[in-house]
Amino acid sequence: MEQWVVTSIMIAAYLLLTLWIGLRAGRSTTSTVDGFVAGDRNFGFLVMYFVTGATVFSAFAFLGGPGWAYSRGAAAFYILSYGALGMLPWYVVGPKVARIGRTLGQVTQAQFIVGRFQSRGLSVLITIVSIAALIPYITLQIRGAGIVIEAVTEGQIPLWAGGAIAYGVVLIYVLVSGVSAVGWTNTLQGVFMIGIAWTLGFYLPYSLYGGIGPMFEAIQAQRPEMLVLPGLTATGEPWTWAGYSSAILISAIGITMWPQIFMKAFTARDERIIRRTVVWFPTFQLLLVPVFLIGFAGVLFVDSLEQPDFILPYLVLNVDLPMFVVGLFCAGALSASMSTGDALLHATASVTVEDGMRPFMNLTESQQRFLIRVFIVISGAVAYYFAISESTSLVVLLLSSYGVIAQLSPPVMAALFWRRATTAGVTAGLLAGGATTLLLFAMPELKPIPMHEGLFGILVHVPVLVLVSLLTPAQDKAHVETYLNPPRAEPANTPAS
Amino acid sequence: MTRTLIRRITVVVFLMNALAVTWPVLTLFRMPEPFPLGMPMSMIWPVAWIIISGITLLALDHIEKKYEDK
Repeated sequence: MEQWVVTSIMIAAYLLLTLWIGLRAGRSTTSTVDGFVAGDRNFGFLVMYFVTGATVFSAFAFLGGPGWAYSRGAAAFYILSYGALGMLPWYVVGPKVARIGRTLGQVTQAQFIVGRFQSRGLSVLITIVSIAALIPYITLQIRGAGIVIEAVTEGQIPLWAGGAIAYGVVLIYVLVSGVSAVGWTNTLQGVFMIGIAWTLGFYLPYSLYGGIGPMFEAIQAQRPEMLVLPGLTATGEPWTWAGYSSAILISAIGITMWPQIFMKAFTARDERIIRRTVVWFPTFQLLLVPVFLIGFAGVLFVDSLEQPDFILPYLVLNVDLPMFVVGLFCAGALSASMSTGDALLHATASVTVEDGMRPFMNLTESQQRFLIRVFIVISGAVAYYFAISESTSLVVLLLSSYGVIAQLSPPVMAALFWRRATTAGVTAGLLAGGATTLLLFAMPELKPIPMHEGLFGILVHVPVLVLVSLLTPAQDKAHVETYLNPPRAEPANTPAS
Repeated sequence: MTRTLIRRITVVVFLMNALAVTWPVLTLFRMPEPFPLGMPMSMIWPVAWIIISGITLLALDHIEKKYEDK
């Protein structure tokens, strides 16, 4: 049998398994908005751990990570540093968000912020910011899935078909089971990613160089600039320290502000589970070590690949690996893409309906669930359109969307920790920060130092938020108090004893 | 260990982590030598901080949980 046929069968088996798990997941959830968007607030530790880990590690980590190590060397190490830094504050913030959300019945990020700063305009603004950041991210995941399938089937299944098949499966299970499908499929996909990354991360350096030590010695002898921080830019010039450091900071600020991560605080069964998820997150973060080993394995072995993101599929296909390893690789890469993509689609649609539409019209529960499903299909279709049309600036867009999404951090922090913050202050800050980020993204020559535009956005955002808040009348004390210290509700679904 | 102490330690470790992996402290660890465990120092340094902050969190959570259970 030809190799691509075997690989296709393995991909099909993997997709069927995912579909089966995703469809089963929804059977025990109630058919309410709370059930579809927040999983009846009943996710346990294991599911939360994998949801958080697998959602953070997307096709970008599995394909982009090795791609960066291969083409930009030590620059890739910034990805190691922001995860732990960004997740740690969530140990304090996550449980607070969950508690307020449970009591006030919130399922999205905008509802959380608008709960304190009541304004429909602000709700719409947050919706726009979220969607603008989410769509390029989904596009990247679909493209990643398409690339992998096209590569391993030797082009027999082209990118457009591969993307359509993989995301057809995602669409079915998310539509049927909502966030519960995301939870259980991500658990399966997380296990696949961890197992496969560590296996390939050791296997490739050993089979190509005889070990990890010898591999780095060889790179040190022939391409020493690859191993020195802050690494290289995409064009091979040395990267700047300002660029490297600010990439870490903006990503650390942004990581928990992504709606697909933030909203998971509303899915946890209790606050303890969120804390444990944060505590164990670094174990997921270490997954980057084998990912980078894979990328470095390509440095001397493969001469300048035109698209460095293809380094992993290229190596897998060109070093005579056993066929089942190739199949496993596909499953791993598809897992990475789909486990992020499903959460993104679900978040985009939930945000659109709950925050963009519901403040303006009366929707019944069943209308809301229907509309969320409609928008899951629409956002999938929009992202799919971008994914199959040629667009090279996607990675740039994604890196920039981190700057945009990080602008949601000051409003969240103000809602939780600053009683004097006002609606006008938060709105003005968000507008000023967002505008600064977009302006400097469009015109990088205006930057005084080569720092990430999102960090400039934050530097403008925070003073504007503070100043405008102080200039406008303080919020009603009773309102702030009920918001911050809502009466403790019993955890949902606790069996009566 | 008391809850206040471990909370303070966590904040300090968090700040040290932020300083350690960015400019200017990171410039001290920019070179690949001496290849600990066969891997470049420039990579092992950020990895070490993932482990350090992970262990700190584990300790914090252990003590927080004791207080919560009371």
